[in-house]
Amino acid sequence: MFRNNASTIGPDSEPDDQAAEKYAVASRWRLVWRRFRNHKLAMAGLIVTILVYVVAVFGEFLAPYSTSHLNDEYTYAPPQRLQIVDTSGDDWDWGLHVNGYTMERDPETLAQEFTTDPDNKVPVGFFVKGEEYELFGLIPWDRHLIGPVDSDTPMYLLGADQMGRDQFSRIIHGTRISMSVGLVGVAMGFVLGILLGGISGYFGGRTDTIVQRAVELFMSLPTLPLWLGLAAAIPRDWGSVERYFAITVVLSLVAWTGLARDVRGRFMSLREEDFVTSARLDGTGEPRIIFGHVLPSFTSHLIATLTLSIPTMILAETALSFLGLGLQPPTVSWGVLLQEAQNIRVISTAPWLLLPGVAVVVAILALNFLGDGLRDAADPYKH
Amino acid sequence: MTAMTRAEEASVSQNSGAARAPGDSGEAVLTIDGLKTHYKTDEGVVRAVDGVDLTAYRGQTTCVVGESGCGKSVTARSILQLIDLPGKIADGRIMWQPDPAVEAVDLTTLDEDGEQLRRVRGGEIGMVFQEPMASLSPMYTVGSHLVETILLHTDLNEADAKDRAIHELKRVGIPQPERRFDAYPFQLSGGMCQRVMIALALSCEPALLIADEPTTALDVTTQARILDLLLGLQEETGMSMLFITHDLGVVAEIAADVSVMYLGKVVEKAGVDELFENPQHPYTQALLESIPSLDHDGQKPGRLRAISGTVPHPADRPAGCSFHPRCPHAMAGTCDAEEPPVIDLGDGRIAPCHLHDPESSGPGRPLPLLPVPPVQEARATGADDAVDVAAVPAPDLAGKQPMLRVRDLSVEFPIRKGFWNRTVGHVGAVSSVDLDIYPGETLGLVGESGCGKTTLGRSIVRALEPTRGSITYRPPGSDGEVDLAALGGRALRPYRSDVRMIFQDPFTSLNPRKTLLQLIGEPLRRAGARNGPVAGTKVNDSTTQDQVAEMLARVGLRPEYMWRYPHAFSGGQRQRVNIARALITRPSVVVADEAVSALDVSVRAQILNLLKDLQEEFRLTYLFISHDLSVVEHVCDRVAVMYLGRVVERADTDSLFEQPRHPYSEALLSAVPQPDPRQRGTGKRIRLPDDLPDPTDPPPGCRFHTRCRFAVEGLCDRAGASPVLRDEASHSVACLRAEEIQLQGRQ
Repeated sequence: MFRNNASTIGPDSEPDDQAAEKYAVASRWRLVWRRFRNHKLAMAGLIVTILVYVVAVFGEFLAPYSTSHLNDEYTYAPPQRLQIVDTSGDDWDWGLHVNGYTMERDPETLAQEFTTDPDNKVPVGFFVKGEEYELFGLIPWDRHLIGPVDSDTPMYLLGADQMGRDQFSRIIHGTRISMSVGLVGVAMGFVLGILLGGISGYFGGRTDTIVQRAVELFMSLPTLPLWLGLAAAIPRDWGSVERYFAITVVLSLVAWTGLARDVRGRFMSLREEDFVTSARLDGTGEPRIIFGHVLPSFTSHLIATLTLSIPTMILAETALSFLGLGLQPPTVSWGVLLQEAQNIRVISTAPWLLLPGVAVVVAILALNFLGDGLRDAADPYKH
Repeated sequence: MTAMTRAEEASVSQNSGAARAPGDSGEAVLTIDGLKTHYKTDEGVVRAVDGVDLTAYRGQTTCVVGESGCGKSVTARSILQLIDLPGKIADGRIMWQPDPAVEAVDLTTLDEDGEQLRRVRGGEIGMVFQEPMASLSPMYTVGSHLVETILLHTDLNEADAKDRAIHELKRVGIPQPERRFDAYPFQLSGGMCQRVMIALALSCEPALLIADEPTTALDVTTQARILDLLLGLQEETGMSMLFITHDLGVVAEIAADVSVMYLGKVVEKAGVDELFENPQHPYTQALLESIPSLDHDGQKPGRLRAISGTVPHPADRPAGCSFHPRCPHAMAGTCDAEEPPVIDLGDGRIAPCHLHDPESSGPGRPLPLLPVPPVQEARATGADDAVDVAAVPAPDLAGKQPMLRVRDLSVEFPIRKGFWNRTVGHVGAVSSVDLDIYPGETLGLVGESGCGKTTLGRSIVRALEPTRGSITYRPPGSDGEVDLAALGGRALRPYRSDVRMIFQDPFTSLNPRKTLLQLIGEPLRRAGARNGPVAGTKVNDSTTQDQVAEMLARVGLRPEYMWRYPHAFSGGQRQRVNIARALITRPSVVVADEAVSALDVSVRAQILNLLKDLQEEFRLTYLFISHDLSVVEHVCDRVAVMYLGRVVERADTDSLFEQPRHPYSEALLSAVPQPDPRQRGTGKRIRLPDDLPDPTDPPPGCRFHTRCRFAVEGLCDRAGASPVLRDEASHSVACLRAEEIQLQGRQ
């Protein structure tokens, strides 16, 4: 609601209280932040999103093992529970640990069966020495946030896959690729959309007609066959990530259409606004009207749109990798990890292979909440 | 005089059986008692309505008047529990007694979605809203709206309901009701839609009609006809009316009882004559004083008496009497601490004010109150000794060269259709207008909406491209002339700072993302400020800051406000910012396009005074575009009347208002409601038919002949013989029969 605190009393006699003064000189972004803060779900979304990206950046440090660490004795080992106290003995024995496995092979099915063995205590610690890695690709280090004190004993907090790789580590490593590989594509589509939509809306007339017909043409292109074709057309010797990256970039050339329409509509309505007319009457030049008056009027909406388009990109990666069209092993992403859960029998023996799906759901919900909150807060001048 | 109008009124309401003598409290049909409607928002509880007592009498019209944000509409909506979320009736009773024989029901206790309240809504109480277009669904025909309502509230079958609907349409004066029955709302004009709304509200013979600003969105001529219609219908059916308005002229025209609201409370309740003659609350007094009155004895006042400040937001209600920060009589220690007591002043009058309380104001305080002393307005330059403008001799135009000469100016908008956007026709918003604006004068431009006055104003400042014609501008102190219509782009820039514009809507015309310094300083960035001192090219430049600070002081805002954003200001203050922005380049001509139309009465007076002071200070020439004739009469030296893109009459203000020579001007004048109930019913009313002709296909001959009462067939409607504005010294008119007809001016 609109409060004109400053105006309640005659302009000359008012004793300004601090709050009113602060409100009066608050810029748009501060007003947006004010409204955003009151949106609890969006704040939660913001925090989770930040956490997810922190995981993506510090993946090597947070994960106990590297992506290639495997131990084929432990195929489909179930998750171990992290325990603080051991009560199996006579005493309470404090210390972070997991219980190791005893392995038996079923004589009939020959399946490996794991049971946790309370006597076999594997001590777990923070900042333990482990495999060497390079933080940010630069700083060599060998400490891991969490891991078994003896780096040779295995620890499977979220279970193991077919090759005995640690699911927990792989989900962490997958975060980076999943949360980032489509960003460039989204950004490119975004720039194209604003540019073409802006041109179309601001100049109108024939330009508008041409751009809009182009939008309709691009909208009629089917994406999935295009994707299949591109996947086949890209040189074989490119790495999996490069191939995927190339595909998203090409697709962004098609994906700018929705945004272009949105931007065009906003430009058209803003062009008629009184404050744009008055800027023109002030003798302000066209570029300054566009970049100083029209564009800032909906940047906050654009940011919200951008936030909401990231989940689409994550989902696309997950879905395509799952189908085998996107990323391929040995690259680790959430979609790639889910490939292993394609088989119903595998899922019945090792349901923890579906856990990357949970990561996808959490990340997407968080981004959607964040985007929704931003959209609601984007226009602080609405009455 | 008073008694006579009263007597007439009594005869009007006779058939209701409840005619009452003046001052008699009569028989209540609706009694609101201590109503409180609160909105729970994130920023706290907003008490939009805070203890309202109100009574609507049987067969009478009760007016609720007040500025925007005073809780009038919320009160009306509370009656039918139509409050938007998060609003809620917190306390109070609303006693509804349509039939004197049956006991009253408390509407607040009824279930919001219950059967009983639904029967009251529409069936017993009808409601008419402000925006007729928005209140009707564009997906349904006018007829289906009506039939639906009738079927809901009566036992008629569908065929009978249709007959009834057509009858209702006829009753509200819609021509060809059988045909209009199948029309969609967007095919009708605003006035027609409001008639349909009234038909809808009255279709089930309600005992009470609540009309929430029903004429505010309409033209003055349409407003007059809608008011006539409502009064006629009341006479016919004997219904009661609760009429909400901000316009004291309308109140004087139709009310029997008036309640004045301020910040969610009723501050004065009185009969209409008593209220206008002898207002008892300082707010009412101030409100009445701030109307630029059409009615004057010889001299028109130079300055209006404005109420200082603006209506605060209901969330920031001042303690004690809520009016005290703006009240010229406020007593420190009393008014800012205690709520004023409700004291009956006799005749059922109420005016809760400490001045009427013998305990706080001392015994023997004479009533009526002293007249309100003129308010010292916030003007840092201290121009409160402003000369009475009426005393300044009117600029002598005879020997002067016009500063701005508009010749044969036409603005046409293409109508595009089809896949290829082919131009299939043109709307001539302005066609062949001639206009002279002389240095130092204020030229008024009036007319109904759609007559092209805004288009004309905008093409003079070159916000629009004129199709034909010339706008010759002669900069002051030079003999050179320049045709602004022929210039474009860069060549026009130097003149952009000479001819400036003040916009109508203070909320949309300021970019909310810029500080006042950026907004007001922006024109200075251009090298075009020819008249002013050379400004820095950067907004942060200290010369720019100095100039902005000085300008802010001139328009009555504190210089340190330059760091603030527009969201911190009220409508009136934003309009001051708009003025500062227009004047920072030291222009010579300012086009004020409905500059005060969006403002409340009290703030409007402040802005009008400010414009007047600035005109003297900066030697400004104004083109003052307005639909409000009383404002135009107050500020303008000369007036041009526009109709359908043409100027039909041009004259000195006094001569136009006293002796109009075009039938259209006459009709406009007679439609303005006078803020004086004694004038009710005096003079002959001239009512124009509602519909403006289609501007894409203007009528041949005189464009006004379709609505003119003097039109003669074969003369006025002859194509190719349209009347031209004959140039006479002080009074020119474009009418073929100007010599023969006798017109009445203002009474």
